[in-house]
Amino acid sequence: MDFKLARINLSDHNWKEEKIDDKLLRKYIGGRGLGTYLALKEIPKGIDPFSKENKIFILTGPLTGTGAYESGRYHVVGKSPLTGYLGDSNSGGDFGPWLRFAGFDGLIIEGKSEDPVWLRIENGDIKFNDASELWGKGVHHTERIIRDKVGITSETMGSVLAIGPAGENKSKIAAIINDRYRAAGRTGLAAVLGDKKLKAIWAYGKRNLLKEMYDPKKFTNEAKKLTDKIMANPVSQALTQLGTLVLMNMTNALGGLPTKNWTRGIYEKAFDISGEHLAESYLKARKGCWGCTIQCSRVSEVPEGPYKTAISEGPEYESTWAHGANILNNDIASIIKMNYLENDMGFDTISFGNTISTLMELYELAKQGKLDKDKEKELLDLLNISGIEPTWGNKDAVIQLIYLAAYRNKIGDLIAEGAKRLAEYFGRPDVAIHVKGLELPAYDPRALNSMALSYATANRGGCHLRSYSVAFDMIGSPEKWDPLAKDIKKVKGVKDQQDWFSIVDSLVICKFNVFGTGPGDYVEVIKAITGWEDINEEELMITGERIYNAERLFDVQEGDYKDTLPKRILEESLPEGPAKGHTGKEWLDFFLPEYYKIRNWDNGVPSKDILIKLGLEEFLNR
Amino acid sequence: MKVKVKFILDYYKFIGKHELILNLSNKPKIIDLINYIDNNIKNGFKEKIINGNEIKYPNMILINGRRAEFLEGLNTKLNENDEIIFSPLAYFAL
Ligand code: SF4
Repeated sequence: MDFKLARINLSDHNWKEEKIDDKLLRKYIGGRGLGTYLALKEIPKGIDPFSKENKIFILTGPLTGTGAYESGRYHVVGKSPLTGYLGDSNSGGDFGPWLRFAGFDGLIIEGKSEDPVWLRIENGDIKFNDASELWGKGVHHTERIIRDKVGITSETMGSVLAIGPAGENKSKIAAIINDRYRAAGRTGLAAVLGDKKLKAIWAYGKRNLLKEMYDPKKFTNEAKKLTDKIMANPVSQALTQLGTLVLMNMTNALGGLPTKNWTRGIYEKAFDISGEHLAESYLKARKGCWGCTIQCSRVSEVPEGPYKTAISEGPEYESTWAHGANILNNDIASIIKMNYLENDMGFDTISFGNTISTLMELYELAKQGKLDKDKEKELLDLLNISGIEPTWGNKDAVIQLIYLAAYRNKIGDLIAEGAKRLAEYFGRPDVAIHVKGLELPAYDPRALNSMALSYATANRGGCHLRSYSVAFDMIGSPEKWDPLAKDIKKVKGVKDQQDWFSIVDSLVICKFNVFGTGPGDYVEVIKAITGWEDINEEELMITGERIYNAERLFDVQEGDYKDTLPKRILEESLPEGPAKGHTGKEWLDFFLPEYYKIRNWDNGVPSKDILIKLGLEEFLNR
Repeated sequence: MKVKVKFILDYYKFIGKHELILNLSNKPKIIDLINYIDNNIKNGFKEKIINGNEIKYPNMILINGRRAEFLEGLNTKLNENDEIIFSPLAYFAL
């Protein structure tokens, strides 16, 4: 299969086309897998993420934009300024397919531009454009200006990927945003684009992917079968109906909804920020990524009042939780506003919300005289000159902080660094809830115990998408697990899901597909597209394992890498609810040794044997 | 004996309320609560959620945050001030 990348050098504003060898592609598939390979190959060990040598790989996969179900996504990989390890993030919307239609299956962004630029990618050609007038502007405005310049205003034609002021100012929690509301948010890779002075990318073209397939007829038949299977699943139907926010009441019921910066697992006002309440208040419509009929996205509007917000996409479950339960804010209108502004400024909403809850706790500690005296004074003075009083639930303070952080103004300069660095700066690293520097999403592993293992061993840090074992612990799909049972079979469940999700992110398809389907369901579609006639389910799972180990290798070669949980989660038990009395340590100590055993890792480091077995020996002495 | 009952998603729509406080006679089990709701609050509730002695897939019943299947199923005994949640399915949030 022909997989074409554009190598774009921002230092000299040049580019060239490169083809990925078919054998190599089969070994890493595309998206996250290929990005990991390229990172191992091309990003030197130990570099500063803001050095010229760091690269950003924006990659699609063989399934992207083909019409195979929910294939409207892309993946970004690079060295993360937030974690210092390999960073990656995935986004929906329309950009992935349009990049392929524009003639490229992926982009290698390297070097640094002297001045801000935006790229116009159309029908196999790339033009560098001056972005001075876009620099400093929000994502919405940027998209409007670029669409005016290219003369295509219809949002169903072409796609814009951009960074906001947060990325320009190298906030370590900045998100790459495409199609105005879709974020490749995690691990702060937008800051690397900001450092390289790349403001935006326009992609448009007429490439016909069907024509390039090995067997288009077979593809059409197999894709239809896959679609039928996915849509027959009750989860797909439920997502169409209800979107992601419906989870709020359930997580809360299980005592696993992180509340007040993870000091509790139950928020008594969870209903006010639930999908049920949104449906009755500000919900306008639903929307989907390119080619997806599940359409899990919500479209909302706050028509009046202090949080008046134009029709916009979101908010999703994670964003709502991070700006709701975790900061004790039960006003859904204010959350819609915050979500809108953070998209416009270009922030990762999970990281931003967690950083705010960290600030609120630090402020409370300062008021109680529980910070070091010098630090207490510094924090209170800084808040004073910023005009902010970050008490729990102070939504107006959050809205001000979004702007302050985006432009690194006053206290915003520290907020832009993320929760870990903020808490460390004020001498209380224990109040930042992160794994390897990446702030945690909305499931408390003390109440959903397999997530203790999922979070601790997630290569990119505190993440629910390397393994979404919530599916077992809470949803009972594909298997029902007691969320508080010490059951050793969970370890293999987490490991297998990590490997399978590596493939999902490499193909690149949406993870909402995979509750109704498994690796075997994709084999025929992959054959039809690529011509890899003898590929099978077993090979796919080994490839997933290869990708997971390759990421891990990058990380451990950076040094100081440890699979653990935040101190609060490890040591403090939840004060109420079904998981009352349980600590993360209790779960992690039980799961982790078995996990290392089945991975063939020595205390988190892949053994030479497993690396050779998976064909990764070329990177052993990187 | 008082218990708090919460209805999620489709059940919220079906019953029309998110939360009810119900007064049940002595030593009820979860099956008695389902019968009570079916008889006194909304007919058809029982048929939606159970099939004989089984909770219909993918419904979920939680008693104080614990899934009924991991307690004593429909025979799980209820106590004063228990919180029971009925959900047609726990969904996803990636
Ligand atoms: S299910 Fe949702 S996130 Fe996934 S492709 Fe469809 S609209 Fe996008």
